Amino acid sequence: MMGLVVLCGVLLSACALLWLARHDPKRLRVLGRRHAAAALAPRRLAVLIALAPGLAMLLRADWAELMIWAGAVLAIGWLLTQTLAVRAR
Amino acid sequence: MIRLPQRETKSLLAIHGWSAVFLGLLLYVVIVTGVASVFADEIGDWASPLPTATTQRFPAGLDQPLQQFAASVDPELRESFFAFPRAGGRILAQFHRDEKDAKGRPTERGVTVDIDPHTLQIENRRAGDAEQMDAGDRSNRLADFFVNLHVHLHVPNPWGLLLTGVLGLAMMVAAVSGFLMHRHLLRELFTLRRRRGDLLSKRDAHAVAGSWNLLFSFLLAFTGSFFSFATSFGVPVMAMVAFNGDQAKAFETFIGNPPVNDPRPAPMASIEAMLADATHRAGADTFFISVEHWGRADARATISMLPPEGELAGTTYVYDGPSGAFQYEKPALGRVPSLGGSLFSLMAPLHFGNFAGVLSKAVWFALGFAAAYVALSGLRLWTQRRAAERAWRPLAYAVTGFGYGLPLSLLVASVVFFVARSADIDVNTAMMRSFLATLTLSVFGSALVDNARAARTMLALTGALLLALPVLRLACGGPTWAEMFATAQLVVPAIDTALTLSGLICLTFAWRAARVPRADAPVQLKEVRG
Repeated sequence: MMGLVVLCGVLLSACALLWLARHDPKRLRVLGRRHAAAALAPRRLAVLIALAPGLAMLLRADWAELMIWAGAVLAIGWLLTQTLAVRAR
Repeated sequence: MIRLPQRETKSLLAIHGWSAVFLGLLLYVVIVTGVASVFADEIGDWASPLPTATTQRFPAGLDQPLQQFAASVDPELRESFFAFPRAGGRILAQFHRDEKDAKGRPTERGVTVDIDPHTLQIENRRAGDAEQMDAGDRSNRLADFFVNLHVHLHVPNPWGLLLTGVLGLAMMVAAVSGFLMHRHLLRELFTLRRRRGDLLSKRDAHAVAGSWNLLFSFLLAFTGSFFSFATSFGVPVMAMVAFNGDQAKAFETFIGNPPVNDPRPAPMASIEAMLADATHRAGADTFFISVEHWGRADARATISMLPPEGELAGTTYVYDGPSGAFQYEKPALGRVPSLGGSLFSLMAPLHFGNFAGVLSKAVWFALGFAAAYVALSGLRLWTQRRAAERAWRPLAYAVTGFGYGLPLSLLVASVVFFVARSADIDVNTAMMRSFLATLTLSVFGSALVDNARAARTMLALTGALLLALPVLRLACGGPTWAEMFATAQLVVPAIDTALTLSGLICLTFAWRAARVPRADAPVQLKEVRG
């Protein structure tokens, strides 16, 4: 059960991180595609969605799930950045 | 993120860089071996599986071999006892007493055995001091080699622990100074420039990995330092100040479980019954058993439980030895629950990442890998920025030698483990010699030949050895996949597959590095030399 909850949380956060990475203004400016950057409001919403599973786990005091989710999301964030940088070649 | 004046930023950069220059290579060794140690239990199961899978951590019928073992041990050595499952599910059981060596340093003397969880036979009996008992343990040697390198770099204690404690502090300094001097931590979280100058892309790679890993780097460094300093420094100092130098007394007070002295002989109650009661109370399986004064009227059993699902830490119960009666639930520190005790109980799960089985271990492995990448990329960045300065070249060679040579050396030691165990020669010595020889060759090889070519060669060799290990495991008498699937021991096929995939990835990277010309630091070094 715990594994499923964490997996769903990580998937949701990873999707939000992917969207944030693809619409990140600094990254797009480096690529010369400044116009494709998302506005502030949708980016804030995406940040909220990315953090939502962690906040839910925090409120429910599910510490083990929270630690796994946080670790997985941070590792995925790094991998996403690496992958998207390779694509930007 | 935090706007600091330029002078402060420069000072922080100097602290960040120089702490890495002096301690970075050793820190890299500690991190890489820590990454491997996350799966120490699984590595033990993979290297030394039993023909049949174990279904319980402590098998039914354990009382009989434990009583038999206790009866065979000199009563003087029955001062302390512990047992827990190790490679393949074998129960490692040990009786020992704490003594002092000729120089007055604390040491221990005892007897250790393995208990087969299926046949309940006592096997592999070894006696002597801690080192002699360890040396006789052949099934856990591979995992222990990684763990000992991670914990104290194979340097005798307390110096090894002090060293790794200092390395943990250096990692914390690097994390905090990196956080403070990175002005655009959040803004550049997704920015990894690869098309501009090579140094800039390397700076981005280091900063991005460091930013994503900042929180856990600090956490792992803090908890690691705590473990290193607590036993090597904290307890002796505390004992000196508050207990007139009596470390045993200090430990008793911290642990909160001082035995009442009653040396009258009394038979030990059923350990199995205590385990069943503890499992019922905790709703989780048993992690570890220890008994003080086995066979005496003042015997006391302490049973530590695994964390129940969703929890970070498990509970610990204390039972009366002769009657087997439950006495109390013991906090991690002292006898009364406290904030300090609660924080202390979190140290181990947060450092080891073992609170939710393979799921949490996989995440900790990934975070450790990222931390190793941060350490190595930072060192490479530092040396490449100074590539034109002759004085920095030895460090540049050492960075390449350690960076690529360390994983290679660990793999060579793993190969030697299987060969030495099959040939029935001293596994410990053979592993250590092969490890040091490969690491030395890697460092000097990086200096002698073109740096980039040395790195590619080491990467290719690492890939080849990763592919060879599963084959070697089989060739040295290990079980086949069919046998493991038939007994539901999936750890062996899983690790074989992970090694094979990692080997293919290393070979692919080595092949690509050979084909794609890069404005790499090693090439710059070569140009400068030329």
